[in-house]
Amino acid sequence: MGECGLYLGIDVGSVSTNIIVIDRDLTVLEKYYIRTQGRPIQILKESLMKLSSNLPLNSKISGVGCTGSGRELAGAIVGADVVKNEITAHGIAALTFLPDTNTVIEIGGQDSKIIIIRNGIITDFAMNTVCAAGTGSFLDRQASRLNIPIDEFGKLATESKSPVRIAGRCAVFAESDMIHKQQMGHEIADIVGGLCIALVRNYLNNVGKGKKILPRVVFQGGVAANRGIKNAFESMLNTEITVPENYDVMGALGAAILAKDEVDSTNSTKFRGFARLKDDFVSTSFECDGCPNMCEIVEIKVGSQIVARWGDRCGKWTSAQ
Amino acid sequence: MKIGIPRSLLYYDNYPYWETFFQSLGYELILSNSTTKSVLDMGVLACVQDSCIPVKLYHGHVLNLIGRCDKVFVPRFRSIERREFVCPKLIGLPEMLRGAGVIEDKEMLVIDIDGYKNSEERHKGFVKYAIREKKNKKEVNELIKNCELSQLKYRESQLVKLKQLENSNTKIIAIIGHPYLIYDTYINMGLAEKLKKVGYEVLYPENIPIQNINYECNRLPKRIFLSYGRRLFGSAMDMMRNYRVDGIIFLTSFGCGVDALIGELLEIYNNRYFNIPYTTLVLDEHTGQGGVKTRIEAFLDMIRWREKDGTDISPYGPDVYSCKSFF
Repeated sequence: MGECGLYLGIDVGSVSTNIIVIDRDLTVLEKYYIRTQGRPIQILKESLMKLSSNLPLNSKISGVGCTGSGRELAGAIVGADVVKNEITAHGIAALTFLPDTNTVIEIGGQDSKIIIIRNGIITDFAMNTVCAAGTGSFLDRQASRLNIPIDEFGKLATESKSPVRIAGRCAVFAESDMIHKQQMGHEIADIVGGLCIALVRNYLNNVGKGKKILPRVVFQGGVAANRGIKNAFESMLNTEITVPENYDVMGALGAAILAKDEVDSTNSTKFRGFARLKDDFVSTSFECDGCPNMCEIVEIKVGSQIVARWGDRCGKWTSAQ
Repeated sequence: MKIGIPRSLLYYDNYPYWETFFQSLGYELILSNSTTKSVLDMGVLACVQDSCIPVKLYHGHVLNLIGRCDKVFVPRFRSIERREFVCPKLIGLPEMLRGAGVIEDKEMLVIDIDGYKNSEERHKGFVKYAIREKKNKKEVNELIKNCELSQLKYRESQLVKLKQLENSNTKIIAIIGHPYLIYDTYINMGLAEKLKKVGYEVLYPENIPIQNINYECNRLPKRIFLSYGRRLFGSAMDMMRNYRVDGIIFLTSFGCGVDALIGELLEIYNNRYFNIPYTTLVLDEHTGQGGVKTRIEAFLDMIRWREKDGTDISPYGPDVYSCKSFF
């Protein structure tokens, strides 16, 4: 058997780092969903090492795509062929696996987005604005406050018989409202159920505002695991919601597909290889004093060699690699 | 006398007028520095918490001028057109500054701009001030005429861009927003530069002739009584109706009441009649560029994708669509 070309997709998000390996036929071979825990570099390195030992011996990574809010960081460390924004990546992934998709709802750790697709083309999208209310990290926080494992959060919500009304506009308001309801003696399941509904209401008012949500509606991102949210969407939109098999890693999947397309046209990969991951990556930041903007520059180094720099407005540091 | 002018808010729209005015009175003009991190930090610290970021920045710019000039010019914009208003925060600027302890009354040069009853009266405050300084009505009238002329010249110079772009093949993105957001490259994170770098030209509301803006606003069933809101709506509608642009970015600051209305209105009409790629970017104190970058990238991807597929809007003219029965 010759070498089989595999494609690596990496999605470094605020809450989770997802890694996926697909082959030429887009079959998912490996899939990792790991919590970023605020240490993206370390988590990424560890997971990739683990991944390399799980891959078949004759496998070869032919292309790498990175996405997510940490995509530049991941791209610099791994050597990416494509560094793409989450919206395109999620849209591509949904379209590849469910070509009749018309709407993608994606709720991740810090972002929530809606992608409107018509005739296989992304025609419109929206993302939550400057604040991260009503996203996965908020659910996470509430789950840990109520001492419920996040995996059971959704199940608990579905047990609710009469969900209470929670203010969903802002995470801080929601939390105080939840505490009030809890102190009044409402059942936890009803509070959790109410929270799911509040989150969905906020999403539809805020992110989905003015968008025509046509079926098929695909729900992806980490929060799609939450049955309570899915049910709330279904009842509010009055339509069936599809949660794809790999809902939690769709961004990474999209990045891998994009990497495959890119490498198909360039015929070479920028992947640095698993061996290089053992290198010591150090990320430091400093404030540039070149002008009053005082940009915060991030510098990624391997040994003494600078791999990447960003954060400047003028391009002085980005270009001086 | 040294007069300080904060490089913020309506400086971005009215500076030619102010420059002519104060220079003719023989004053020396000191501009605050362009927005920087320290201006932002100072402003955020000084200003009331619930205000929008442009007003916070204004506080920072005033602080930046203190000690560098004899008086800081703080215009009190009530109204610049008959039966129209500007944002209430602009009306109360001098009081906000005093209340925040940024500057004392005697350090401020406040001139009222109020053309609510009659647009021509918007010069009244300037006339009054100039007469006190110069004491000659004829000279003052001449001076105001010159001020208007410089403002007009500036307006006209803005229109050239539309003509240039009409005759070129470059892709154009419209940035629709208040002047103090779209021209302050610090707070908008160099949005125009970012677009130019990837090959797009940028069109602003100020590039659209006032007649076109009026035409669009007059078609609305109700008057928009906010002057700047009117400009944003009219210019964006004109760009959409005539397919002057390949995409529209609506730039707004978090908590802006005017934009909440105008942005929504534009999005509704766009979805209903024009279907031009459209997105809203919300700015606040964030200095991390990640969020803005992601949204722009995705927006441009979407434009390219739609073009490639040919599902994008028709090559030409409003007639292709049944826009005749608009509104």
